[in-house]
Amino acid sequence: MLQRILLPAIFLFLAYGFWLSPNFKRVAAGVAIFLFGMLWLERGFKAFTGGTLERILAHTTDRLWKSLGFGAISATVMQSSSLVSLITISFLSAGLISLASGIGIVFGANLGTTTGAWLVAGFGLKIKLSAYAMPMLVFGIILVFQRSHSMRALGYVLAGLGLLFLGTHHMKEGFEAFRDSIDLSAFTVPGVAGVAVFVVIGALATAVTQSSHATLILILTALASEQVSYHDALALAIGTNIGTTVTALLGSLSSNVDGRRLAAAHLLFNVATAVLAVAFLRQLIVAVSWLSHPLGISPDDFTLQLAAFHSLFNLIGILVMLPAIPGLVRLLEWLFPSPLLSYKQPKYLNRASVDHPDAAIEAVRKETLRLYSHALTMIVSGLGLRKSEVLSTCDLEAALESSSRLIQPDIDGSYESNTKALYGAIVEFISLQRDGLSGDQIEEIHALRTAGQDVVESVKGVKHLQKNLCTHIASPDATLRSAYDGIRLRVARVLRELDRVRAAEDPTATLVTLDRVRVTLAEDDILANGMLDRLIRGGHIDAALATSLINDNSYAHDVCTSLIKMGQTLFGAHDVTRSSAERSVMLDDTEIREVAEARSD
Amino acid sequence: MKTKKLLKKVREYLDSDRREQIKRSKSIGKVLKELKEYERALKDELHAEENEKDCEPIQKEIDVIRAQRKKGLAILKEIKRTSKENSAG
Repeated sequence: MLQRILLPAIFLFLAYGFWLSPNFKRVAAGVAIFLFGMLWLERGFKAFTGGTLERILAHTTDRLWKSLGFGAISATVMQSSSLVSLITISFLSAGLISLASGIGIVFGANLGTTTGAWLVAGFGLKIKLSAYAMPMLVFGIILVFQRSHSMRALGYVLAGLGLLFLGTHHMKEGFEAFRDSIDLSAFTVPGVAGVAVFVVIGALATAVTQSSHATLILILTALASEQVSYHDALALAIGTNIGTTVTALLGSLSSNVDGRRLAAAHLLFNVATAVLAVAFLRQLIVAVSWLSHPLGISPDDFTLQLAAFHSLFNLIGILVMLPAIPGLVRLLEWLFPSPLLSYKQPKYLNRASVDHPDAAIEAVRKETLRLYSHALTMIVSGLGLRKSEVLSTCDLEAALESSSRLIQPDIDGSYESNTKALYGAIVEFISLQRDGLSGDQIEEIHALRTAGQDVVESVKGVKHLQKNLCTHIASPDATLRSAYDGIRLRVARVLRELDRVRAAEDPTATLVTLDRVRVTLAEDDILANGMLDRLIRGGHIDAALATSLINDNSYAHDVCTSLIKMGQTLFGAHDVTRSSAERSVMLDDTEIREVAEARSD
Repeated sequence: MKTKKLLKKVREYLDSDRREQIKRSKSIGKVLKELKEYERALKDELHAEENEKDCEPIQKEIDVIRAQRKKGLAILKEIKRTSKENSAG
């Protein structure tokens, strides 16, 4: 409802402003060009990093100071705290980083984004930015049309920077022309009410532009052309800190409870920092003028003083809030409790991860592992065993001896209502992946989809096996019982090996062990066929039973093969390039048979 | 010689297919090296193992590594051959 009224109202206000003043039109166009530049810059960085940013993010967040540093540095390099916040939300939603690390990154990004004001106040307002913008745009656009992925990304970054410069230039020119026609400083309200009004204006402007950086540049250019007073500009800058949380709040709408907790932490931090800044505004102004001398800022250079003020109050906010992070985490976990998920509901898949390939791939991997964990319970109970027996070092043959009567679990029901639903959610999430995936990432996501399919196939296989297992493992005929125990033993051994490689977390060992298990499987097949021939020849089983045994052997073989293939994808390397290389050297069915045959010779 | 090397570097950077190929062969090469180290460790383990029953899976893993390395080396050879053909063409 609000959106339906707000958008036409903004349009009408802007149209009236354009009709009233060509200078206002120029400033607004400057903001639009600036925002367009931000979009291109973000697009370029996303493609240019090719997952590097995500990889660093996943590995440098084990300590709070590292999270803070990562947030500050990445927001400085990319000049966008929103992009850093959104990537952090996607990683948090995918379960790749903790909430405390996420909060550290967002706090750091708040400080990092203040460097933009320093750059513009220090250089941007003193040099003719448009002179640099034009060649950047020309070179950038030429590169955008290149075939090479990284060249195109570089083009987006270059053109994005060009547009940022061009936008800043138009804002500056517009405000300078404004100076002769309208004096905004006449609207200044004295006292605390005045500060509050400008804080609200700053917050609203940032909420509309979705960029604290753009609003801050607008404030700096207005300040440089004396359209706003220094004090009002400080209040506006405080407002931008509140307004910038809108991006994270919007981003969290499509994420899970962790993303919402992070967005709430962002809002709490920025509001608390803003309240502190308003409460100690006078002291902060004194501190800035005291710091200006050693920093070499002249007393009448208000734009640089504003940049210093912006950095200082964000830094104070971090210092004040840092010790409160553990308490903040507890408060947020209490305010936003984790919902009790049923197995069929995805835990890691959410829209917030869709745009970030590495986060999306990890989310799919974790969800497929969840699918496997549930399937494992079903398979083990379908074999008439217990998880504690299969996933330990206990004697499997003894465990089979003691479980000669199957308690028939409802694999069919659980498969229909849970496994299929969760696998369906994984497939749907994968189908949302569109652009920006590298060749290796596409290969990995397809491999993960196949791994999910393998899990489903193995459950289906056990479902088929179950009927005859129930009848024959309690058979008085020792030969038949032993043949079916052999089938159970083969599947249980594969499950045990899979559990071992999963726990070892050694990609090379996984690569070798799982192919070795496949060779054993091929050897077992040869032995099983020989045994079957002997049973038929010896008249131990009739033709009907022989057919059942052949079918069940085949089901067991398929279950084992599917499980191993799943393990090769899920328990192998997480790095997509490495994972692709591992897939290249894995043995195919023919090569496995060749190794098995060579060994039997 | 230096200019030739520089031109080669520039060409590698500009040609995305070639860059992908180089990345792939480097990655496969790394996996093969790790497999060789793993094979060496398994051989040591095999020598130290006295129980014949426990030797069997170790020997089987060594056989698997040999097959995997053979396959990997053939892929590397193929990548090298196509890359040579492309640069000649």
